[in-house]
Amino acid sequence: MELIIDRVTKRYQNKIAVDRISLKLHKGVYGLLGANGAGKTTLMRMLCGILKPTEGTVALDGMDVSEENYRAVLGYLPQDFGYYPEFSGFDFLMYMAALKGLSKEQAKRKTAELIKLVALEDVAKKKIKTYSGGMKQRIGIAQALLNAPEVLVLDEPTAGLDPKERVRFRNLIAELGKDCIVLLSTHIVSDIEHIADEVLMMKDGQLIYQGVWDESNGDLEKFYLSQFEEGGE
Amino acid sequence: MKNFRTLVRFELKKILSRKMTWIAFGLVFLTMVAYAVIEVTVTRNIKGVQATQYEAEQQDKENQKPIIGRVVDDALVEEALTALTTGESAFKPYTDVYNVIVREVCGTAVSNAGTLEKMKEVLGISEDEDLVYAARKIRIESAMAEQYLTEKEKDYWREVLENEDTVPWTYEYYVGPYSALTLAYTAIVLIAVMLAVCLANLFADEHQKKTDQLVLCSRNGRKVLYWAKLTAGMVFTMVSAGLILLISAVPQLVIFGTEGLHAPIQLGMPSVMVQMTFGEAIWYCYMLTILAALMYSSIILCCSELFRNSTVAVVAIIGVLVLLPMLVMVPYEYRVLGQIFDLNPINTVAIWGFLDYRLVPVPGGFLTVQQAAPMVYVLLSVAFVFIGRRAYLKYQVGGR
Repeated sequence: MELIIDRVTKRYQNKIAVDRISLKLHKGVYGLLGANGAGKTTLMRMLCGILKPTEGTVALDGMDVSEENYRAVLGYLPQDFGYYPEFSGFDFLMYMAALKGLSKEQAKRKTAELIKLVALEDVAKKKIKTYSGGMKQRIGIAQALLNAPEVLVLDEPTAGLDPKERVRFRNLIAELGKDCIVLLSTHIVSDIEHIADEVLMMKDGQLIYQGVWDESNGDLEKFYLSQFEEGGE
Repeated sequence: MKNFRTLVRFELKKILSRKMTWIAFGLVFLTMVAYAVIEVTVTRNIKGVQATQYEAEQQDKENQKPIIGRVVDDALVEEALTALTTGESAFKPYTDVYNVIVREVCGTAVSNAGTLEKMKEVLGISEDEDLVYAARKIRIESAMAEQYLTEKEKDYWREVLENEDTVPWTYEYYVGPYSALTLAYTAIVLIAVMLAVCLANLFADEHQKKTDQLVLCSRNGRKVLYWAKLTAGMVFTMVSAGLILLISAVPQLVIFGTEGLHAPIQLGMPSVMVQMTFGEAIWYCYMLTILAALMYSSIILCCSELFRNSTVAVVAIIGVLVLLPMLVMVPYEYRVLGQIFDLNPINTVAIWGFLDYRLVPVPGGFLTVQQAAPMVYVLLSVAFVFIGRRAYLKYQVGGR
């Protein structure tokens, strides 16, 4: 399994949001770090096929990002997204399962399984508008996992979760990374330190660091901050 | 298309779970019911007598009994004119024959001439011709000139008039079907408002609530979901338009009766040249209303996706397609513009739509407004569906 990002660029009228990024991603967790406006979300959107690159290509084992088959193996949790307030958590997951092409039986089984995984059994039949921020985030994580994705793109997945939940989901993501490609964007450096097999760092649309981070490299947070100090390279 | 039906059900659930949908439907339902209730319960001065509309119509029905089944010819008109000079009670059976038919085809001034002979003389009609039908032809000729018809169009209608097989008309009581027919206009306005309120969010909400990111990166989120949303919108449109038409027509037919369904619509509108009975006209107008509703939906859904904003969709329908035609009239002199403008459903499903003689040229002949309107609505619906589809498929999530 190989996700090839080849010289992907996103240019707006007077701004380059992502500048010629090339990567080859394999099974494992990739931690994406970068300040606000660095281009992380733009890059993730292009990996999910919801934003067309100005230049470059994204393909999984030869499948282009624009293909239906690619979307069939993709799971995406956006940073800031909405819900259907009148749907219950269960309905929302069933709807997303239908969108992801799961059969009715698969959808029911997978929905029940994921509701349990994200600990929302008690409120599954309640309308999403009654959910807390953390609950909404958990249902968002659940929808990303419905189709047992091969490529999982998570934009700030632990935002809004309490510390206990955060640790639980961090472990879950690490577990998922054994079987699929996980690209995880977060501002919480410790999350990345704990679970990322490889660290990617973006600044002004460019990839400024890519590699494995271990204790011998020192403190990741210090390194991360030094990159974003004015003039830091 | 995998899971298409499941997705349609979920999209319908989205529409039906919105409070605004039920509020809009409740208001429309109440309006139509109130309209019927007022006719039965509210007393007002009708033709000098304090009565409800229902009582007045029942009295009219009773009064007209002596002439129901009679052929509308010179003999009947002569009786009406004699009764007019005799007194109010003698004139009662002929009220509609005189007011709706004679005055319409002859004009008020000629109708006041007093006798059949004088009226014929003024209009230049020979003695062996029936006043009503000869005067009707003159009236139609004048209306065709007012509408700036070409000679070819006039010839088309003259041929229609020559081949009319419903002439002479047989008089029937027709108030129930006539009321049901006139309500198509009210119904299309209510349907347009209801659709604008209920469907304008269907695509726009995905963008405004930022659910588009989740939807568009899923396997069925592009092609299948577009058709599912569209189907849900169309199903909702057909059911709600059908219900609104039903609650418009049924009370009228129950209150005022179904007599007259087989009578030619010319009894109520003598200058109409299209050959239809009241029953056929109701069927036509109601079916056209449903087609127009589908066209409205396709426009609403297209605007909802194109502008990613429900307000634009609401303004497009209520402002441009409903209020504008209600407030503005394009003069007949501006033939092409006027004709396009008057193909708006607000005009075509209205009873006066039958009085639009302007024809639509097609290879090999002409289409009447009644023939052209359904085709135009279908074509426009298809066009907007594909414009919307193109916008939906091309949409990119960015810049937030």
